[in-house]
Amino acid sequence: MEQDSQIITLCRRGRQEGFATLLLAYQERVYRRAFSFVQNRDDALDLTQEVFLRTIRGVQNLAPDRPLWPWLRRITTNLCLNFVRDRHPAVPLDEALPSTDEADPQEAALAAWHAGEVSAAVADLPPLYRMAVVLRHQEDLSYEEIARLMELPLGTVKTYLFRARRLLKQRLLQALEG
Amino acid sequence: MAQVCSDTLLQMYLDSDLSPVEREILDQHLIECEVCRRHLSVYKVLVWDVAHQPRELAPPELEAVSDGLMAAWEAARTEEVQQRAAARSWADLVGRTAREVPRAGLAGIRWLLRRGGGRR
Repeated sequence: MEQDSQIITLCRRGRQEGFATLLLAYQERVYRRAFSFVQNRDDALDLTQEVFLRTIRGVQNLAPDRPLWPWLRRITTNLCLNFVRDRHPAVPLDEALPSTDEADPQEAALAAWHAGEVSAAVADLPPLYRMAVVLRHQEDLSYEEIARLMELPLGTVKTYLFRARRLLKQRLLQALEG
Repeated sequence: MAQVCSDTLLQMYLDSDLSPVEREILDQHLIECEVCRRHLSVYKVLVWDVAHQPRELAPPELEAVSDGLMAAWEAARTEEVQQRAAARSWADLVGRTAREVPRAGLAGIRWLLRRGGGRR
């Protein structure tokens, strides 16, 4: 937080080292978040660049007493959301997903589902579901915060999240059975 | 308690999104229902795995993006300095005009008065 304050103060004074430190502190984080949303390296690089170009344009609006990450996360999420919406049709909420209530999870060790499979399963989710899951479980945001960030009704966010986790659960169960 | 077997309720439980009463009912149900207990365990593992996914490594191209952004920062700064200089010179001009015009005006009036006086 103190580092953020220094970065913002330097940037607002137009000091090059302020912006260089900002990039050093947050560029990789922004890239990783963008990648987790769009699942494509080139697109994530382009989106990362756009996030910081907007930062350059809006540097005078940064408040030195506020942390930088929520601001950068909002821009990253908005840009990725627009990107995803442009490229993918909206997820129909009435789309029937197979219920897993009947499935009986195996007693096999859950550790069998290794990290690579988790990443692949998350990557295969519909983009808006994926964004909701990432914001909930990697950014630790509440339903309300996600709804605000994604500019979606609260109920829609819950539906995306529940369906995403149900899909992930199916995938996990398949991995355990396989 | 069979009616409590609900995937949605389990997910709400996972998110601590149930009221205390609903939570207590589900707690009771979980004691009795092995299937729901298993599903809940799967969800807990899943959520932990998603939260602890390995970090995506930053690609080498990110360095080039960084260089481009530093150049964009410099360009924006240069433009800002030029705009400030232009604004300053405009302000100077306005200030000079504000100072000079009344003076010139006064001198003009004196000149006219002198000329008028000469005619008389």
